[in-house]
Amino acid sequence: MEELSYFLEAVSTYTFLQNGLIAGALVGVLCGVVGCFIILRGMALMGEAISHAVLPGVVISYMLGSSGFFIGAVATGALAALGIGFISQNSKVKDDSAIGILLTATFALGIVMVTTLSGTSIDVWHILFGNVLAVSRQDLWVTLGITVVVLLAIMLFYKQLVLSTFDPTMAQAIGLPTKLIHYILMIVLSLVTVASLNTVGIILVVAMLITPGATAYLLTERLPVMLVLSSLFGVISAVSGVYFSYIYDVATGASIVVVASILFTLAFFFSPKQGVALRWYKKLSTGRA
Amino acid sequence: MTSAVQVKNLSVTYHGHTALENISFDASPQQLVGIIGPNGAGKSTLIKAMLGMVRKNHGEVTVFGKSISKVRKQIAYVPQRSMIDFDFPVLVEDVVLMGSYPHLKWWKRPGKNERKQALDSLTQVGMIDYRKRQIGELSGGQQQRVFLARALAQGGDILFLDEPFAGIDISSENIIIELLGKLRDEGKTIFVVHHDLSKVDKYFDSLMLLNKTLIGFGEKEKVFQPELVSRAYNGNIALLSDKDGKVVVTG
Repeated sequence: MEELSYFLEAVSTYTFLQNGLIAGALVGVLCGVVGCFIILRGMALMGEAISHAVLPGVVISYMLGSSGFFIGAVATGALAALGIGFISQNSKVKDDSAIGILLTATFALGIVMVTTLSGTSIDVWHILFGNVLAVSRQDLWVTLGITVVVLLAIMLFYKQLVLSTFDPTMAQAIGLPTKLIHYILMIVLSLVTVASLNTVGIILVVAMLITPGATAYLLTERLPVMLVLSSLFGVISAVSGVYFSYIYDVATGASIVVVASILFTLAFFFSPKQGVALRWYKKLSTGRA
Repeated sequence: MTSAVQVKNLSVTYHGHTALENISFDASPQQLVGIIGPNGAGKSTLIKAMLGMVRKNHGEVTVFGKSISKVRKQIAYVPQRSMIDFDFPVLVEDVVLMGSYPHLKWWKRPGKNERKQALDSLTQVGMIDYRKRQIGELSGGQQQRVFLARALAQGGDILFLDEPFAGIDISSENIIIELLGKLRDEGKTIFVVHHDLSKVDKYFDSLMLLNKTLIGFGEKEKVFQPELVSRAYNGNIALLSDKDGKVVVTG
């Protein structure tokens, strides 16, 4: 209780803490919503690859001193997505191997580039793991802008997105551009990674995409409900992650992900319909009867 | 009589090997057509090529005399059940509502009329009591009826069904075939991909025998001949006769 009031007092005093909380909540909603579609399309590994592929783009933008670092990030993210498709379609190398190759290749390239720049202002640690308490006003605007644009697009094209996810064959049959939708989602993934750079960083962003969505997936049988629950879990994870990191002075991104994972664990065992613990209990009680 | 679907010299090649070669036929409207052939004969590919979903090497497909891109909305497609993820968080009524999507403007959501249409279609396939269930909770036959309801809600003049009877219970099969007959009587043209030869002559008006090339097409009495069937199945069938005539058994 004492810690909570100490935290609230700090929030009302320090702008950096306010910025951090707002950025965290935005990322929670954004990743929560996008993540549902990533899960349902079976693209978790793709999300991992794109988020890593963003690194070289971010570094190039820093080198050029451009503040619009999301352009570089989107460019390398999209290139990686195209590369994965190109490799798996033009050789017998399967999709997951293609993802593995490009994920590590782009990430390694990014690391090589960062290390040639050692001594400059780029902090690798912050890009990789985030530093939510160093969120500037400008970072906040970037995150807000990406969140609004992506959520608006999802609302406008909800129908098309749902149909091409649930039944790609019918989507194609009625003339929806299913390939284009796929590649737009890749670009969205790069944007989401950029938006989450400060909060959780490149390495852990995939957790914010997958874990809250998977938690919601275990709790509902309706997509609209899943979207709401997933963003809610994203926000809860982000806010309590910032709280723990401030109170106990631990890494913010990592604490956010730990909270999200605890929520998933609870749903995994105790979800009313899917819960493993309840199923064990039922099995035991019927076994005895 | 004008034709419903006309296909001219259609060929499809997949990764260098031929899936369909030089298919031509002319299907008149208001009939139930069975597309029959062994596994790998290109039955699904034919449907997809007709709908422009796989690239054809050459050939021409017209529906009611128009190119396919102009009449897409009028064509309802029922996918193979194995293509669907039944863990998807979607209720039965939401699946049927998807039938309205082709007719809505790109930003519009289904409204009152679309909902009513969806519930009517569910009633027609006898699944209205299941409208609030998650799609994966149903049996295979019930799922197939729900997808048929979606096609009804879409209200096309032409229906394509890909293996609707694969792995479903007999009562659902009967409900579906009865309904397809009714739809045919209402004026629809229906293509059904089917691999089981046992009830072919009972179910369909016309048959298409396919094995990469078109082996036979037309009224079932003319096409369902042992020589033709045997050719489609590369001789891998046993022909038995009983007092009613001939029974064909695959083997």
